[in-house]
Formats: sequence, C-alpha cells, structure tokens
Amino acid sequence: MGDILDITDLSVSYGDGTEALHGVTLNVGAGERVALVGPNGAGKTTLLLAIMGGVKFSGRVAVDGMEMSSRTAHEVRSRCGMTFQNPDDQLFMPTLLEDAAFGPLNQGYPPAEAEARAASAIEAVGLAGLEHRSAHHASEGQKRSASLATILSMNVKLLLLDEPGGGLDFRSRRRLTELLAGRTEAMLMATHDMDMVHTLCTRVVMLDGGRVAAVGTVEEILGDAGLLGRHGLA
Amino acid sequence: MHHRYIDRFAQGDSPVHRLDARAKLIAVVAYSAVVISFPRYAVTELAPLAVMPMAMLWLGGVPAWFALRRVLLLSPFVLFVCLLSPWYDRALHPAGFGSWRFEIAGGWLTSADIAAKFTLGVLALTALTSTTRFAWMLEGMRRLGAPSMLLVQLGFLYRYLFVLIDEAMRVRRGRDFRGAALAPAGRRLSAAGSILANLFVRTLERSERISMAMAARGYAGEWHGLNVLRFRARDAAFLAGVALYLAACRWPWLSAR
Repeated sequence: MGDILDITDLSVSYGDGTEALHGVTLNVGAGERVALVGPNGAGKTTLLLAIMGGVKFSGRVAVDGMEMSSRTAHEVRSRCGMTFQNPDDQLFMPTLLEDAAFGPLNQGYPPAEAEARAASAIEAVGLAGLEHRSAHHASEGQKRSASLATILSMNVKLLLLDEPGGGLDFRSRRRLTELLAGRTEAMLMATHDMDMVHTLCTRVVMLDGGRVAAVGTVEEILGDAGLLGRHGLA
Repeated sequence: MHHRYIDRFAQGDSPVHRLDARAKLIAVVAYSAVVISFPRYAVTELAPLAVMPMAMLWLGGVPAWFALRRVLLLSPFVLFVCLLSPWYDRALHPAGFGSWRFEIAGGWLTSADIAAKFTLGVLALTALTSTTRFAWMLEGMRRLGAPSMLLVQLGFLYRYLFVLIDEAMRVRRGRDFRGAALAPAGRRLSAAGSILANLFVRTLERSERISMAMAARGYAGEWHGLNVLRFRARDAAFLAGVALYLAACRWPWLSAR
C-alpha cells in the first residue's frame, strides 16, 4: 500500500516564536484511516493546516507524491480536502449546492459538471433535497455532512478532518461515523472522540506539545491507560 | 436570529418566483429609473406606478403587511428629509385632485413626492427580494456584469451577518447572566466596548479561517459560479409587459409637457 501522505521532520513556528510543531514525521497509506489525538493545543489543527499549505512550515509534506510548496499548493489541494472544526467556516456560499460546487469550479470543471458533482456529493452525504438551502437553515449535523460534501465533490484522495464529530448529538455522530466508514479515501482526523477512533481508524498518532508522542494501532494507543494519562487523554 | 428575517418568502414557488432573476432585476431597475424620472411636483402621476410592485407581491404570495412593514421600518431615514422640505420651499404651487383645485407650498409637494417615491422603491425592492432567492439574485447580477468582488462581498454579508448577530447575542447573554444590569453605567459601557472589540477580533479570525477554507478548495482569486439561471420566453414576455407598462405610466405625462 503506497503512502498518500508523507510528512518528514515538519516544524511550524508562529511569529511570536511559539513552536506549534516540532520534527513531526508521519505517513498515511492509500485508503488508510488514521486518528490524530492529543490534548488541546497539541498542534493537531496546525498539522492539518500545514498539510494544506495554510501555515508556513519547514520540513517536507507530500500528498500523493506531490510535495507541498507555494508553487504546487494548487495542485496538492486538488488531491486532498480539509473540513474545519466549525462548519460555519467551511460553508461560506449562499447555498449548500454552491458550496459543494465551489471546489470543482476552481478545479476547472465546467459549471454543468461542477453542479452534477456537487449534487452527487450532497446526495452521498444524505442531504439530497437540501441543495438550495442556506447553511444557516441547516442543523449542526447537516452542516457537518455538507462540509464533507464540499470536499467529496472535489474527488480528492485524502480527507483531513478537524474534529468531525464535534458538537454533534449521539444520533448525528453515529450517522456521520457510518458515512465516513463507507468512504474509500484515506483519512487523517484530528479528534477527541475515542468512540469514533475505535470505529473508524486503524492507526493512531498522538501529538503533545507539538511533537509526536506515540504512534501505534488503535488498541496499542487507546489500550495504554498510562500513556493516555500522561498526555491528558484519560 | 433566523435568516427568515430577510428572505422569508424568497423560497416560495409562484409565477413570479419562477421568473429568471435577471428579468426581475432589469424590471426593478427600469421601474426605479422611471419612478425617479418624474419631477418633484408630479405626485399624483406616481399613483399608477404602485400597480407593478403590488401585482408582483400579490402574485408572489407575499402579504401586503409584510411589504408595508418594511416601508415603515425604513421610513425614519426619509422622514427627516420630508419634514425639512416645507421649510425650504415655501413658494405656492397649483395642485388638485380631480375638479378640486387649490394652492400648496412646494415643500409639501416635495415631501409627498419623496415619501411616494420612497414607498414605491421599497415596495419594488421587497417584491424583488421576496420572490427571488438570494443566491439566484447574485447569480443574476453576475450574469448582468456586476463586479465579481462586490458579489462576493454581498454573498459573505448574507451568509455571515446572522452568524455574527448570533455570536453577539450569545456574548451579550453571557454578560447579562453575570449581573451586567446591576453594574454602574461606566462599567456597562466598558463591557460594551470589550464585546465590540471581541466580536471584531473573532470576525477577523473567522475571515482568516474562511480564506483558508477557500484556498483549500482551490480558490486562486477568480470567482466561478454555477449557471443555475435559464432565461425563457416567459421572462422575455414579462420584460416586454413591464416595458409597455412603464411607457404607459410615463408617456402621458411627457406628451402633456
């Protein structure tokens, strides 16, 4: 199984000198679902943003063999998609259909095909019939699903999900988990939801203080009470 | 706070809703131009112009009270101008209703003219916005050549205005639940300043995240839209009807000069 995401010695520092990530190395195989866990402020979101080229970094990030740089950012972003913690940041167009079509249109698809892709992605996440609804009219669960549709419509190979189940009730979370379980794309999801990790992921990367604290299978990491306790996860 | 506050009837389905957004936009712009083109003392000649917005509202299933409430809501903006006019223009002008002839100060006619044009304008805009989905209106404006950056800003305004209002209400609630009503006026004012600053910072942060979300989906400075609008024969017929109607309203007055 070839790697769809390859990160080597990634470091991110903010303008005030704070080191958000330090020497992070990890990989995600094609079709693999990896959880990114860690306490608040561990650098999970920063890592996802760095993969998308949203923050300046040193080190190497490659998606599907294409190394991320300012020159290749557009190409890399057509291979991976990211959903944000707050779906209101993701859904900025007047209707869900237009939001889902935003990516394909930027990828250069003609409007008719972009619309077909958007409609198909919206149907895939179970929101058929709500295409012309504004995000403001949608429930939190619908917004989460619509956020996912905005990147599924781009036909990407890697999904970067930041707290995909955050703020959802039990039923909406279960529906989202089932939806993600049915996808074939590789996933790297930053989450505190250990049930979702158990159900969806095969591997866990634990971050703490901007460094990789542990990498292993779900059973190895989540079964180690001492490790979880030392890193504020239990 | 809910979006329905501004687009309560726009999601409906009626012959007016089904018209292409471009046809309605052109009709309302032409209508506004004709309304404005009447001189300030020709108040009674404006009466036939009430037919178009009222017909659009009626056929679109938008209740009259909804449109009239909009007029009342916005009226303070013109009320001031209306009240001042009689002070500045006191020259007497002949006026009349049917066979009843009398003289009135020009300022009063100007006030009535401003109020009438304002009412007609708001009615027409309400008829447009209440029978056209906002997204389609933006698309219509884009296809008619409106600047892309303006439309992006309008789209964001529509999308995030209520998110911001919701956020402000939550912060205000947080303040009120901690006994803000009992605080001295100075501290309340200081808290209000902090809330505003806080909201400003949050808005800035949100704009950065949205910018990132756009970039993550391939946005590189060029805005693309879906072609959801279809201009059909009925739209052309509607525009032709509006053109005839506006000419009929305007021509008698012009030919009488």
